[in-house]
Amino acid sequence: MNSFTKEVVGYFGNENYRRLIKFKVGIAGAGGLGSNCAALLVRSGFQKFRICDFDQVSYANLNRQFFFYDQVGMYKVEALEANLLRINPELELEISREKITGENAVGIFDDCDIVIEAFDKAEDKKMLAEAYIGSPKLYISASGLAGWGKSDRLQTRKIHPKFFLVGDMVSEVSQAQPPFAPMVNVAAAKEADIALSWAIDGK
Amino acid sequence: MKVNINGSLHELETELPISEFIKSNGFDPRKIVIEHNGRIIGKSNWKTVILRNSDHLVVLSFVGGG
Repeated sequence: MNSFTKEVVGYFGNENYRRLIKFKVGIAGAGGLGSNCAALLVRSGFQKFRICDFDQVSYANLNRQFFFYDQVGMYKVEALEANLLRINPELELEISREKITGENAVGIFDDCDIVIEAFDKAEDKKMLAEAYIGSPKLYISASGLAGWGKSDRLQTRKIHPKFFLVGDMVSEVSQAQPPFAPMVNVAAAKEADIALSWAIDGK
Repeated sequence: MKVNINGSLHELETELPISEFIKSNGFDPRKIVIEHNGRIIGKSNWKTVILRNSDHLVVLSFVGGG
């Protein structure tokens, strides 16, 4: 147990820590939602991850994603791996550049207990929701987080006992309503908090 | 007839296929997930599955951004 983990245990006790580290978290996408959500989960003490994204970091990502100027051009999963290990060097972190499709959506997170949808496109959100809506895994998705202001519009809806949906459901990213760090982080933080409370309290 | 849609009761005039319900409510078929009485209904079955009195329907309509 490294010094960071000792401090996390200090915050919420050994029992909660032991509960938490059993969970492996799958994250579908390492953009605005996925990169920030992953950082929050690492800071919360989660240690086992599988993170999938095929894309590379661009300057346009830096307004909201957990990457840095000198990481532009790197694969997102590789840049994110480096950043997460700077928070906790002892993570069990698997990264994949395989594109998630309707065919591999279930298999790719086979050994994960929690799956977090962190895609950009509505069609991909739909695809993953269809794959996981009846799953025994905890599934957390997000929809509607564009623009700025009135951040309380982002709600958490419990669609099923193990299927949560975060967002305002209507604010689509567009030229008039771009994605910005504060709202994207609110959504990512809500996704992370659902996972944390599930792991500790079982609800 | 009454149908539970996303947790609240809605009055519908007649029984209708899910495809008609989607069309009349203006949903984008590429971006929605339909669950009917606890089962996911894929697009290929939207025409054959009929909404009836007391049914439970979950419609998840996704928008882009992340």
